[in-house]
Amino acid sequence: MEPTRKGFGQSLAENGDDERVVCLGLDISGSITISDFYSGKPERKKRWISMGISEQSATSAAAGLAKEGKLPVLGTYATFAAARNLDQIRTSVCYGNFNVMIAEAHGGVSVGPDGATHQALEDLFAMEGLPNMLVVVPCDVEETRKATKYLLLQHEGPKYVRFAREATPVVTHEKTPFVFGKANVLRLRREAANFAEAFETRLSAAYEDEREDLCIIACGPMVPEAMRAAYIAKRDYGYETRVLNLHTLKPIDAEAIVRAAHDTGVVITAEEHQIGALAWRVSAILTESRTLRTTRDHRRHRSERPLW
Amino acid sequence: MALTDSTTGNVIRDYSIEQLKDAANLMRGYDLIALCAAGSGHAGGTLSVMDITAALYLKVANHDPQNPSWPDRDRIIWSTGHNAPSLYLGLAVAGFCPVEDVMTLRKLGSPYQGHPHWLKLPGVEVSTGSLGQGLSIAVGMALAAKLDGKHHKTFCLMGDGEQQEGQIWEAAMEAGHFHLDNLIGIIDCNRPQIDGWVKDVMNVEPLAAKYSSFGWEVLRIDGHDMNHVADALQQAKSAVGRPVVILADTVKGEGVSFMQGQAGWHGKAPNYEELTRALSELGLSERIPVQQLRDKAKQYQVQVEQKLDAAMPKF
Repeated sequence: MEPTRKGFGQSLAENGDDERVVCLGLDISGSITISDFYSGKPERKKRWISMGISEQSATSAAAGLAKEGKLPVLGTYATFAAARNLDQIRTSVCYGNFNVMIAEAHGGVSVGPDGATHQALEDLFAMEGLPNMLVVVPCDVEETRKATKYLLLQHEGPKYVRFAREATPVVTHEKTPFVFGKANVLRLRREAANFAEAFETRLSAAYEDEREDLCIIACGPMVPEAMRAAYIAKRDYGYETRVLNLHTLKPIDAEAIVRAAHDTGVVITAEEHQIGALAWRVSAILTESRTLRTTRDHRRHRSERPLW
Repeated sequence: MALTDSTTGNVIRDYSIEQLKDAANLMRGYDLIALCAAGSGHAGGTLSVMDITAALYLKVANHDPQNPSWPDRDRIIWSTGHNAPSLYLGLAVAGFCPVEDVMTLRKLGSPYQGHPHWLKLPGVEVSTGSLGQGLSIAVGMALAAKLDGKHHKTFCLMGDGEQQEGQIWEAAMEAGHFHLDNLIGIIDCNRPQIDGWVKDVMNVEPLAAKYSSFGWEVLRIDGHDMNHVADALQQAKSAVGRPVVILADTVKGEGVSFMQGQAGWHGKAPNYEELTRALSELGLSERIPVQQLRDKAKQYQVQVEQKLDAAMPKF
């Protein structure tokens, strides 16, 4: 178990030698691990810029840095990274199509005792809706590391990556496939002392239909939860489950979603967010598909009201 | 420092103060013609900032009209994006683009959009229009310049009403904190905003004391005295250790008697009758080929309408 945010810091530590990388501090550096960028590396200190508790200005300043060829990274808790500065993300960053990475720590209710003001619960609605923006919600610390590296060094343009606060199960490793924009399928294969080892992970494109009974589409720390559900479904009901790790919400792997629905016939979405960022996207994709005939959308969820 | 040929380092044209005044006057005329042809836009602010625009684009900023992305250029950010026509005319008279093209202002598909968009028009540094963001962007660019050991300046044009935005003060704090002496703010203090006088809507004064307390050097000038304007801009370029803000006292609608100090000209364009009167007051009726420019706008509009018509389904 490890907090996903640590993967962000690890990746910045590993990949921060590139002189273009500039990290902006919003007075919450240790917690979100952006401080790993410069910790123990004094030669990087000048590329660490402390902006204080000013998310709006820092976001627009990041656009200015990107205009000048830098690779700026900034992050903070919850909605301060996505709502407080939404106009700046939209107008300074996305409209100008600048190469800015925004890290949102403290996603979801699993943040716990800090309460609703420190839980990002609606951020994905806006981020998914922004032209030019990419959105990744990695499922564990290892996937976060890979996603951060890809977004930082290989993708040019605005990007948003979302982590959880608490330690979550590590369900991938170095060799697990991570392809930006492409979902992974996870299948329960065996009993194993280490829960993660009971599953096999493949790229959806490389996966062949096994006529499972249902599919759970999840992102972030809901992926291990979906895996648990798959285990229970098998143990108690004899059901086979296809778990789809949809780490990239934008651009979304519509093909994997349609295939899963077509192959299994039952789709459940699981997101640590007000229902919709994942659920509505999946519903829309299924409804728009010309190859599927969908039936009524049964919403069964534990919380009937918004998560506040 | 001036309009420069970046390949040779030679000054392309060295404007005198009289020439700058004349250029600013012409730019006011072009501005009103473009606004009239567009049927919408911001007369008040584009007129009040025009003297500063002329001095900055034609005399003070180091840039090359043949090379808008010259790495050593001075950067100019228009945080008050709604005054885009002044930006466009600054670029045009400096030689970045043809003046007559600016007459397609605000028309569908034209790169001379109502608020400047950098992805559509070379010479525009960044896309602005949402007030308060430009100074922060300028801070980012100034920080990048410091990181790279570069010596160009970043100018940021702002409005006095715009100082009501909290983000401006975040950026002001940052500029002071990081001693960004390569950052020059210019505030067009033209007094009214939309709902009334700035001092009545939400008082922002004393701006000088505020910026000074944030660690900036403050220069206060008459924004319509070309000598003051040019001197202040040059002086700002030699700042050491602190960012500089130039508070320019101006008149919204400057140059046109029925717009000056009159409420309602913030987001309004003149009609043809008003345009004719204004050009006459500016002494430009004979100097500018008004009809030719209006024809250019009209031709473009006709093309747009043809395209739209072709795309419309016929019921």
